[in-house]
Amino acid sequence: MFELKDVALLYETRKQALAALKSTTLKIDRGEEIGIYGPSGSGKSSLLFIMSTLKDPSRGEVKYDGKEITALTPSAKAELRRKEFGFVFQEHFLVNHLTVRENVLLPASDKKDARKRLEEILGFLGLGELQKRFPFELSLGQSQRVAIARALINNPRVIFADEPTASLDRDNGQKVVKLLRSYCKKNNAILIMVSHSPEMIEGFGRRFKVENGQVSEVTANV
Amino acid sequence: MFKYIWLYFKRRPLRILAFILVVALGVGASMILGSIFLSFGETRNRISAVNESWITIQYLSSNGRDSRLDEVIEKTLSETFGFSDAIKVDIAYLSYNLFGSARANFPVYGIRQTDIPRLLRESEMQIARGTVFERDSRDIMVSGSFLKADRLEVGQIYEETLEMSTPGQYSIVASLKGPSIFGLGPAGISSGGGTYGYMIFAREGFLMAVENELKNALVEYMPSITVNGPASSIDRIREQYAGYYTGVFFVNLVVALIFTVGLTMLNSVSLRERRKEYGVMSAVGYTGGSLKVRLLIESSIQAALGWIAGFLAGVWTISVLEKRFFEPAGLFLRNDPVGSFYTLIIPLAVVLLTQFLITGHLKRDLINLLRSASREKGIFRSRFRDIRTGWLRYPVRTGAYTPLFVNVVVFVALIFFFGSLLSGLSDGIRDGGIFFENRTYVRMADGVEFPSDITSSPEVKSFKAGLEKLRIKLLFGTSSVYIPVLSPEDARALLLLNETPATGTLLVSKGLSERLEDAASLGYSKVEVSAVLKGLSGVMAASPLPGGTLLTYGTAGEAEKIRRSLLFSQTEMILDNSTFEKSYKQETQFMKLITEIIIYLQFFVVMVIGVVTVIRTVSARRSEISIRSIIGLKEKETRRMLSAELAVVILSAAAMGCLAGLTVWWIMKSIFFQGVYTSTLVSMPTALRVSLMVLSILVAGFLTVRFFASREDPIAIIER
Repeated sequence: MFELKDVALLYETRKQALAALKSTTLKIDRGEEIGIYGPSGSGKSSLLFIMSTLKDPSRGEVKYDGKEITALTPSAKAELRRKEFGFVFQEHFLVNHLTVRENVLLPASDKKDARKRLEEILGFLGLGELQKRFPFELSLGQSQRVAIARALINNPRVIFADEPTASLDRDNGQKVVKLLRSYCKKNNAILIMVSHSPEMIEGFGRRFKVENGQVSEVTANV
Repeated sequence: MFKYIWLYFKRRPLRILAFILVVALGVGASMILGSIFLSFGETRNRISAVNESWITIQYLSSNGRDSRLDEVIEKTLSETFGFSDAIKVDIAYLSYNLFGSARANFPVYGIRQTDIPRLLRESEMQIARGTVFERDSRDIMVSGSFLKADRLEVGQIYEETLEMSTPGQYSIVASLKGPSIFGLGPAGISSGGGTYGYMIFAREGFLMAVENELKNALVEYMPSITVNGPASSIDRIREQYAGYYTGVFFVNLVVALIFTVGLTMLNSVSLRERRKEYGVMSAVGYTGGSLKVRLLIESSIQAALGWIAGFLAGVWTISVLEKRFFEPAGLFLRNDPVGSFYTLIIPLAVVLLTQFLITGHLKRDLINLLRSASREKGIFRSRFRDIRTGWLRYPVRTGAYTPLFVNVVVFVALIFFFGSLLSGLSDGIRDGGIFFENRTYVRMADGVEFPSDITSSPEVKSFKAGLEKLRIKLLFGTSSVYIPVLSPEDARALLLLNETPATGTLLVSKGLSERLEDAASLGYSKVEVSAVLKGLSGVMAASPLPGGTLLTYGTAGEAEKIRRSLLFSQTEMILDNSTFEKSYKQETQFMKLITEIIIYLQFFVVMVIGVVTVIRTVSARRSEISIRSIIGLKEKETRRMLSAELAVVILSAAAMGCLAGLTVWWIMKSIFFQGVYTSTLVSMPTALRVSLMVLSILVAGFLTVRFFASREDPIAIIER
C-alpha cells in the first residue's frame, strides 16, 4: 500500500547539505503495524511527515495505493490526508474555541455519516459525556482521546501517530496505544507510530530504527 | 532589563507597531480636529490682524465726513503727536464667507491712489493680480483669500447684500497677497453712510504705545471716535477665541477619551495574553515591583514613539489639509505645534492605566497566572456551546473581533448621525426652493415696467404675483419659504386645479402643511394640500394683487436667460433656482467638509483596526490553520471560513451601526430638535457612503486573510 523508493530529505545550510533522512526504501502493506523508534532528531518524524504528505522529500518516490503522491497538488494532498489518513501527535492539537464534538467532526468529509459514527467513536473512547466541553476543560488524557476520535472520524486506512504517548503517564499512554492498535486491527488499517521509546512499540508487526537519518528494519527483539 | 524589553519588541513587532500606530492616530486626530475647529477663529484672526500694521482713528457718520470730528482728530494728531502724514480714509465693510453660514466683516479702505504703495508696504501686502483702482469708481483691490472664499475672480462684480456690511456693487480690479485680509478702494467707497477717519503709522514696537496714548488723548470724544490698533485687536481676538477654545477643549477631550479607552482595551488584551509570562517571571524570583517597572518602561517607550509619530503626522496633515482643502476655500487652519503638546495626555493616561491593569493581574496567585495562558476564555463561550454554524463559532465564543465590531458600529453610526445632522441643517433651504426649480419671481423697482420681451417668449408664462415669506425652523437658525400670492384663477391655472380656489386659500405641499404653526401672518382662511406642490412650497390664492411677476417655464435653462435679460433692468428682487442653490451650497459647505473629514478619519481608524484585528486573529489562529491543514482541510476552506467570519462581524456591526445612528438621531430629534425640518432621515449619499466604506473594509479584510492564511506551514505547529 505504501512504497518508498530512495526517499531522502536534505536540509541545505550555508556550508553543506544535511541529511535529515538518508536514502530509504521500504514497503508497507494493508493492516500492518509499523513502529518507528530512535533518539530525538534522528529523522523518524521526517519519515512520518513525508509518508503523510506533510513534507515533500528532496528526492525519491512515495507511492500510496500504487500512485505517486509527492507530486500531487496541495489541494489533492489535503484531500488524501482527509479521506485516507488519521493523525495523532504528542500534543493533542485541538482547536480551543471548538467543543469536543466540533473538534471531532472538523475533518469529517461526509458530515451526515460522520455524525452517525460520532456517538460510536466517542463511546468507544469513553468521551460520551464530554461532547460539549471545550479543550481547556479537559485533562491531558481526555484531550488525547479526543484527538484520536478526530483521527478516526473518517474511518481512515492509515493512522500516523507521532509520539502520541509522550505527554501522558504510562497507564494513559498504554491505553492510547491499545486503542489505536485495536482500531487498526478491526479495520485492517495501517498504523505507523513513531516513538523515542522502543517499549511503546513492543508487539508491533514491523519495527524500524532511525539513527542519524538512516532507517533500518529491526528483526530481532529490541 | 532593557535586553528583555528589546527582545519582546523584536519578537512582537506587529503588536508593538499596532499600539504605536493607534497612539499616533489618537494624537494626530486630536491635533487635526482641534485645528479644524479653530479655522473660523484663525480666519477672523487674520482679518483682525490688519490692525497690527497701523492705527485707525475713526467715527461713524450717515452723511459723509464730519468736519467737526475731522478737525478734532487732525488737531490731536498734529499738535499732540506731531503726525503730519496721516492718511484720510473712509471704510466700507464687505462680508467674508466663512463657509456660508458664518460671515465676518473685513474693511475696505477708501484712499487716494498715491497712498496705495504705503499701505501695501506697511501691511507687507503685494498686488498678486490686476491693476490699481480708478478715482471716483466702485473699483476695489481685495485680499486673494476673500476671492477664494466667495469663488470670485479679478474682473468680476461683487454684490454685497448683507445690511451689516456696506451693501452695493463693487468691481474687483486686483487681488492682494500677504498676511492680512483687507481691501483698498477710491475715497468715497463707503457710499455716504459709513466709517470715516485717519490712518497713522509708527515704527515697529511703538504702535501699541501710540494707540494707548491716542485713546487717552481722545477719551472725551469716545465713543463717537474710536481708536483701533494692535492693542484693541489683541483684546478682540482673545474675546473671539474664548468660545473656540472651550469647543476645541471639548472635542479634544472626547477624542483623547476614545483613544485612551481604545488603547487601554488593546493593552489589556496584550496583558492578559502575557499572564503566563508574568507567572514564569514571578516563579523564577522577579518581584511584582520589578515586573511593573519593566512594563512601565515598555509601555512608556511605545507610547512615546506613538506620540512623536502622531505629533509629526498631525503637523504634516494639518499643512496638507490647509493647502488642499482650506486655502482654496479662503480659510486658514491653526497650525500650532507648540500648542499641541496637550496631546501628551493620551500616552500618559495609557501608561498610567496600563500600570493599573498590571497591578490587577499581579494580584493573582502564581499558579493561577501560570495556568491562565492555556485557557483562552472567550467572553461568551459558555452561552454559545450549541452553535451549529461553523463561521459563527469563533466570533461569538471569543472576544477577538470585539475591537473591530465596536469600531464598525461606531463608524457607521457616526456616518448616519452626521448624514442626518447635515440633512437637518440644510434640507429646509433646499426644499424651500423646490417651487422655483422651473419658476422665477421678479419684482421691479418702483415705477419700472416689467420688460415685455421676456413674456413674449412662448416658453414662458407669466402671472401677476405678490410674495409672502414664511420662516421654517432648521437645526441652527431658520430658513425662508417664499409663497407667491396669485389670483384664484391664476392659482388654478398654475397648479392645474379642477376648481378655482376660494380667496384666502393657502395651497401647500404635504411637507409645508405639517409646519404652519408660524404661518398666521399670512392671513389665510383655509389650507388645502396640493399634490402638485413638492418639498416645502405653497401658493396663496388672494386678491387684491401686490406688484410682482411669477414666470414659469418648461426647461431649467430659461432661468439663466431671464436673469440675463433682466441684467440692465432695475429689479428689486429675483428669486429662481440659482438663488436657492447658492444658499444651499453655502449653508452646507462647512458641515460637509467637517463631516467628510470626520468620516475619512474614522474610516482610516476602522481600516487600520480592521486590518490589525484580522492580522491578529489570523496569527492567533496559526495553530488552528496548521491543524486544519494537517487533518486535510483545504486552504480554500480555511480562507472561506475566515472570510465568512469577517463578513458576518462587519455586516452585523454595520447593521447595528445603522440602527444605533438612526436611533440616536431619532432620540435627539424627538427631544432636542423638536419641530426641525428634515425631509429624509437617510439620504442616498449617506447610504452609498456607508455601503462603500463597509465594502472597502471587507475587501481589505479578505485580502489580509488571503495573504496570511496561505502562508502557514502545517509542520510549523508540530515543530513549534
